[in-house]
Amino acid sequence: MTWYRFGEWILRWRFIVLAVVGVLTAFFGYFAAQTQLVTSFGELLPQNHPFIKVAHKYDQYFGSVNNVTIMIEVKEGTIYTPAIIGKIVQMTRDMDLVYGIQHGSVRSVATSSYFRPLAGGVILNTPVLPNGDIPKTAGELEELESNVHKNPGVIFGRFVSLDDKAAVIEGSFLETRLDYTRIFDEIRRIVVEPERDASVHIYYGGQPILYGWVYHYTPEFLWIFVATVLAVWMLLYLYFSDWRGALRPTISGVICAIWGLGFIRLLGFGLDPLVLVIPFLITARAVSHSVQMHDRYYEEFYRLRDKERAILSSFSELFVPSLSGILADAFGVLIILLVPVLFLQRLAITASFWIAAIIVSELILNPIVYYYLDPPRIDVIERREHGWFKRLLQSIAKPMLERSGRIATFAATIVVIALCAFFWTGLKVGDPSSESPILWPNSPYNRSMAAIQSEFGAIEQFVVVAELGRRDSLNDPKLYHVMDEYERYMERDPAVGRTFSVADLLSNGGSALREFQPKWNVLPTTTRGTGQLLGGLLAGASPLSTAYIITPRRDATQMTVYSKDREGENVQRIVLRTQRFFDDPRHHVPGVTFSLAAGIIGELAAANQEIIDNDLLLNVLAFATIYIIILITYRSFMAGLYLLFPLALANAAINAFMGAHNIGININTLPVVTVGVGFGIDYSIYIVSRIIEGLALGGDLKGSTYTALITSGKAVAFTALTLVASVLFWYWSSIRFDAEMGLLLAVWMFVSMLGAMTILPVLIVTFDPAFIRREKERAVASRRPDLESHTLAAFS
Amino acid sequence: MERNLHAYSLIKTLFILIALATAACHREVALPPLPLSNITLTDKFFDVWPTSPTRAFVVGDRGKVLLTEDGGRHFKRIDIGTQLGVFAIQMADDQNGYLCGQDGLVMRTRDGGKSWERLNSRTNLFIFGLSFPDALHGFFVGDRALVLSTTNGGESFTKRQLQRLFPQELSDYALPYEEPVLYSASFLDVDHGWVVGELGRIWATENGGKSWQEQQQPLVAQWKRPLGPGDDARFADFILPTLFSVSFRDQKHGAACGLEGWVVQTDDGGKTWQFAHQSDKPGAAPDTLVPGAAQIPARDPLFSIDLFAGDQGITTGLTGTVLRLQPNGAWAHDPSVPAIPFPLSQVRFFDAQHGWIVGYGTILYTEDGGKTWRQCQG
Repeated sequence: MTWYRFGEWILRWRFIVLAVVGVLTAFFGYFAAQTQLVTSFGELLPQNHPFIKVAHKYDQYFGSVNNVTIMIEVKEGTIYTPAIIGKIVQMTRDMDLVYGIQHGSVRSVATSSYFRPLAGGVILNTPVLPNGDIPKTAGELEELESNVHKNPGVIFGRFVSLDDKAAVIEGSFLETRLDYTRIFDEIRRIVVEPERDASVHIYYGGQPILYGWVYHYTPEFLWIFVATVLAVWMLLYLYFSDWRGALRPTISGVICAIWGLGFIRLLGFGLDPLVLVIPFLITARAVSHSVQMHDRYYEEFYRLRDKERAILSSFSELFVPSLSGILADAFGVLIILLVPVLFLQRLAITASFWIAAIIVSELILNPIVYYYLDPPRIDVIERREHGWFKRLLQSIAKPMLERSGRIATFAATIVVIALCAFFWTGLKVGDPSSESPILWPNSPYNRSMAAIQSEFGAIEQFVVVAELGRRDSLNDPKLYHVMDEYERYMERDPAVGRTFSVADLLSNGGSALREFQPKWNVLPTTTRGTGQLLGGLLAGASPLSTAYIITPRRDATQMTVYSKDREGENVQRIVLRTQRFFDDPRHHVPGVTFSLAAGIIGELAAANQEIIDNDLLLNVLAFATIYIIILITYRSFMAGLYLLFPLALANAAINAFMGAHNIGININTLPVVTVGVGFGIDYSIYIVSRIIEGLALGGDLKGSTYTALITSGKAVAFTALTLVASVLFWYWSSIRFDAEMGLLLAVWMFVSMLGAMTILPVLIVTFDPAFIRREKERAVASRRPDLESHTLAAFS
Repeated sequence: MERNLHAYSLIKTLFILIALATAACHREVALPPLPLSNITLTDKFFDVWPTSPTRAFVVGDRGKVLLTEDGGRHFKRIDIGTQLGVFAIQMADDQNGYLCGQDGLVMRTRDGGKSWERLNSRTNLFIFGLSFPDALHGFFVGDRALVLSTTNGGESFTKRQLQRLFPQELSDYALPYEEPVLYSASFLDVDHGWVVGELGRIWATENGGKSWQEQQQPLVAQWKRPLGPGDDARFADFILPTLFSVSFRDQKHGAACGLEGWVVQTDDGGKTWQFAHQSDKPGAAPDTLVPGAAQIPARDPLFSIDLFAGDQGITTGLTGTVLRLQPNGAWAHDPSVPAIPFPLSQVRFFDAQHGWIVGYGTILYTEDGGKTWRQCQG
């Protein structure tokens, strides 16, 4: 009764309501028009995690994640020709011109130097390419090759590949000037393309390049969006046989999108191209609620043959289930606020607002829109009621609710649970394979990274910082022995390609300063010996040029482990091994704190750890939130359990799907997976509410359940199938992540729908829960006889 | 009652589902034991000592001592109880052997290498080379012109500094030339031996180390590098290239190698030494390089030399350089050794057929006189 009056109030004050909604929509529209695509890797990281704090403290010197690596590989011969060396020199110079580059961070064989011993005890610290001059004669080229080979690990194997066919140029970009599009464009235009010709392959990779490619592909989104909208329109038209059926959900989706986008911009945020599927998903939710309402309006109009009464009847009957469905979604998403990741917290606020906007675009505006639209023709409604889709549902629903059908449904559910449990074990935290899951395996980026990895072994950095609490710690020989022992220990792990630390330079320096005699290539065991070698290493060099090994303040040094990939298990294992190593009292150095961890692997480890820590909590809290909303809606403790069952099944299925399809839970997938956790609860609410309605109108439990399945259930099945069909277009995307997330959400919606349409009604018919009977009594008490001029049987 | 039972069943099912999910999702990553390889790319091997055609000891950084008994197919690590670098090893006979290394490390085995005991060398200086003509008599050489000798199998040592004593008036100027590092020793018997080191020093003894004579003087005349503006003519014989290794096949014939790829040879027990020439490949004519002339490109330093089997010779150096002695007396690049761009610290042949080369991350073995080499995997 209350909601009926509320509907009447909306219609009576429709001008004011329209004006308020119009003004607000214009307000949000103004901001929505300024929407920008923005992505920031840093915002995906848990800023309070100790690893991230260490990374931020030292990222100016050690293990910056904003590294770009460019590899030039000759097709024939070696790099030791004037033309190729000329290219390397030129690319090194050009790299320094790219916007946002951290000057001094550009390194290649052209910037390297070595110690040259001469007879008589003279040692010259000689640049490999004196003055950047390009060797021209065969002798000069041979000398260059010899100089490179004399410095294994420092030049040879690091800037020049061990087969002499490739060289790399590296550079770091300033966090404060990360303009991925511009960096990507300038690296291609200034550094790569001028040197590309028939004699070489040029590959480039690194975090800024990865995001550069993502932006490069974003124009595709427009076509995917247009194709999706057209497909949804076509399906809506086929379902309702009426243009109003397509228009009404579109209005709902567009208005809530304007509110959502406007709100994002209003808060100063941008839209991340990697989670564009989330706006799609929310809009799809708006469309779903709208289809439900529209379907009910047609049903009521057919029953009452009066537009205004049909509007009010459908509004009053669906207000509670729609509202509780929307609130369950919104609060479920808001729970993400608990994850201490800036991006997720922003997403929690903006996505929950966007979802909540459906209350306005769908529930509040609904009676007014129908008020101004012409009523549907009766033959159109009848055609919809007797289509093949409804006949299909009838043929499935009837036997399913019989005893044998219920047993079969239970059995099928158990099989599905077992399959989910089996495939769920394959789910990995972090990236499940060596290539970036953001792009397709054969994308230029992944092919580039594979080529660089194959020539140089490993490039993904995990940096342990040795923080020096005492001034004399730097001269403590034990520090370097522990560093060396750590490197040798980590190199035994199959995921680790190589390691690097100042300990390597120290022992190499001992040899280089003693005419390259290998027997001097050992770590000193005395403070004096250590100080001498360190002095030799640092003397004459500017503090900034040695900052990659020791900070200019001389208060920290580092050990870098180069991982072959970013696979979640490998990342976790590297961290665990490192923690265990430094927990061992034998590896404690007085005055030194070994802090984990900078570098891309350290930051991913932090993110993965946060995911592991929060994933279960998030799921429990999201389910608890939805449970409380259902508890309030149906005033029953058991109701939540019944309605959460299909949702739990959908969540299990989605995790199993990810496990089976090698999609890991990582900083990119977590937002999508977490936002979707409560989606689909409205399917169950609509069906249960319709069962209660049927009972209130005098039907029995099985009959009412059957009716609910072929009325509300029909709209549920249709919206789920529409969503599945529409997200197929995402598979055209060059961004693999968006394609997979689209597919994932389609599976999610489909399984939710299946659960709500099969096991939920079977559970209700089998167990005849008390809350259904109680809600029926309440519905009977609040019935309006004037809205019941026709019987429900007309629709069965 | 029946309804309660149903509700109970439902709750139980939900809990099972959640428990399954939790168990499946939150797995600890496995930490399998790390593979322990005896030979890795980051190993630095400094010396090898074969005791039979297929049995050899290999020593290196971080206290690493390996033993193979099957021609390098398998290696066993021997724990010597230290992480110090081991620079050289020699087995004087089947049971008795010695090794030396970083920070005055000297160790002895009396059981064929199974166990090693540390000896009191009374020094913390690096000891780079050793030579034992028999189980009791031996010499160690090292940093700051150090020579340690023992006549009782390491029970006690006599320590001395083998360096030129400059007159008082030159002492201030002579500082850079004092206490040169001695890298290698070669003793044929308890009396006759040679020691080489920094700045081209060659010392010889004919009385078991009681007295020593400098032998590099003939080389100074051959060395044509002009003195630089900062060079002092009074120390002209100290601009010779450092020598890292010495090997004598008998009391007359010996060779040493060192910086800038130079090999020096003697056919008269060291009375006269001569710079040897190199050739690009076996059979090619020797180069005409004048000793001391600037070389472009600079040649790699040579770290070890071994004269063996009557007339054979081999030397190894930085960036995988391996030279073989040719019938014409020149040293030619050996194309049969795999291209390894890393320092090769030591080469030793047991006999004419069986030999070893060790270096950074590398152990090579031949059983056909060096025609083919096999990379040992450990």
